[in-house]
Amino acid sequence: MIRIKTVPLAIISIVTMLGGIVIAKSVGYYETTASKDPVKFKTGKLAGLPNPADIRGSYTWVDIEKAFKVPAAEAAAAFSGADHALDPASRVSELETVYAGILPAGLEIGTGAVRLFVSLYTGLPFEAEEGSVLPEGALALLATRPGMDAEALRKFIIPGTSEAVQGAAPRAAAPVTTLAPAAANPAAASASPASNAQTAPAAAPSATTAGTGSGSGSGTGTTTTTSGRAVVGKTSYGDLYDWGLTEAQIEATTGFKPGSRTQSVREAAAAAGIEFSTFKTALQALVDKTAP
Amino acid sequence: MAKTTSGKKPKKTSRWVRGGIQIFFLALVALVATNEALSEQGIETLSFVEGASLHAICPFGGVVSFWQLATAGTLVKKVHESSVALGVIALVLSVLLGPVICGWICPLGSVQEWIGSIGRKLFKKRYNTFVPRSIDRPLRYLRYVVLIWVSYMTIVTGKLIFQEYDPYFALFNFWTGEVAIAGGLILVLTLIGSLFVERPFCKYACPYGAFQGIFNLFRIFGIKRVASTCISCKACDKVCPMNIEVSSSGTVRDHQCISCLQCTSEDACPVAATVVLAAGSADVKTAPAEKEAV
Repeated sequence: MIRIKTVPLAIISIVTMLGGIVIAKSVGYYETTASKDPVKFKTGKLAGLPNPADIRGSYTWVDIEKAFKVPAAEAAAAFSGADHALDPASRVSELETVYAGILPAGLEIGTGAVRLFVSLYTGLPFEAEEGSVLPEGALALLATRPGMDAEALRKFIIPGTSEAVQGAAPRAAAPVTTLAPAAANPAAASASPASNAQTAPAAAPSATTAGTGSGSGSGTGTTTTTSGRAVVGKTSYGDLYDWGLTEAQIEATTGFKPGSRTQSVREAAAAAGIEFSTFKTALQALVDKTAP
Repeated sequence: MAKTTSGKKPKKTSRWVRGGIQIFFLALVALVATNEALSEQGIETLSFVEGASLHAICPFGGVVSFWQLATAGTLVKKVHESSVALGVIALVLSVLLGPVICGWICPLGSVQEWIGSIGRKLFKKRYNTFVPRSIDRPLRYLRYVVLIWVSYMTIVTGKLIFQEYDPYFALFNFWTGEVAIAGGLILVLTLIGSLFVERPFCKYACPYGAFQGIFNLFRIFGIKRVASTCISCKACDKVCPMNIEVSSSGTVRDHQCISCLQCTSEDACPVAATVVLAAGSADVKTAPAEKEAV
């Protein structure tokens, strides 16, 4: 019988813990913070470009500048509240505090708004939630982007506030100090049909509609349905089954095996490394077709 | 607590050693959690724990991330590589020594234990015996239901779903405003319950404790009772925080053992080398001279 007493047990426990950490560090597997490199699009012409959907609350504005070439100081200023100036080094999750209690019920300006803003700024696709809004400063900044469609931005105005984007035209004509979408993300620009035409908005169509992973636009930002059953980010497989779709139909449309009933389709797509927007329209069409 | 004929048994070294380690890890985790919260508020923090977070140093994150890591090669949101590394380290310790993480390191376990010492003073021998055995025994398996639920929901949602219910998270973040109502409520119930039952959350609800407890079934070094020298005083049973009947065991294989060693001959057991943490056969003839006077 090999016996271990208290003191040796304490030593073994601590040495194993600390030794294990040292070994994990030595082999490069002991990261205690999340990487600030967003996941990249895996397919289509945008393959290799950062995905705005992966921006997290722990990102600072500086992290966003590094990843997406969106100037940190201007972005932080654009999102600052009337009495709450944001530091470019602060986390975007701070927005939840800045805008808490001052927005109409059901609206939120948080990390999701930053994803949308970056998407609009860069022309990279992102599927915005319905009812997404942006602060006036952010809309005003976006309005200065070359070729930006002021009309496309209107849907993101906070109800009851002055319409900042109405001044889009004169602002757009003013000198622009920020990187143009094409310069920031050339592939995004070339992948967007709209951006190929100089007279057409560069960022708005792909951003407000979420575009697609392969670079094709997909209509307007508001989901249009003929069945009254909208496929949105929160739609679960259970919803799709309840609407009459079969597992085989869903798999054929999305390109990957469906998850459990409670899992949202968007989360499953993210886990499979596929952009939700690449099949959303087709899925919506299938839902509309199946509807009684 | 066993006593000698001369009066109170003096505090054993083993108790001080374990208590010291518990305090060390509680302080370390509190430092990391406080540092993280202050950092989020833009307040300057301590450089030597900078970047670490409560999630980054929780081995359970590594456990619930396992499926996503194996199938998609990614980690659940808020879980970092360090959680996986700590999960593996804890696994090694568990295979070797059982749930020492629970008995020696987990700060929530330590806090419950310390509050329990107040309950022990208040209720004396009645402490830790309030729950009828017929209810207590089946309830001990509730934590496996919690483990399965947490694992399933984490796999399905890809999120750290347990955070909203986790009293461990609530314990270190109650002042930050980030604690969900459910988590705060479970923490309060746990702390109040600790006055009546020793380690109630560990016994009935902790999913990581459930995971760790499985290793009691085949750990290499186990709690062993040498029958040939045992005097059947049941001091080991009385002191066990998890109400395990050590006195009727050869090797303790109860899934609730936390390897705290309170039952051993270094602490409660009055006979030398009779209840021990050991590997191999416990059926060793011990000379009568090794017996301590009782």
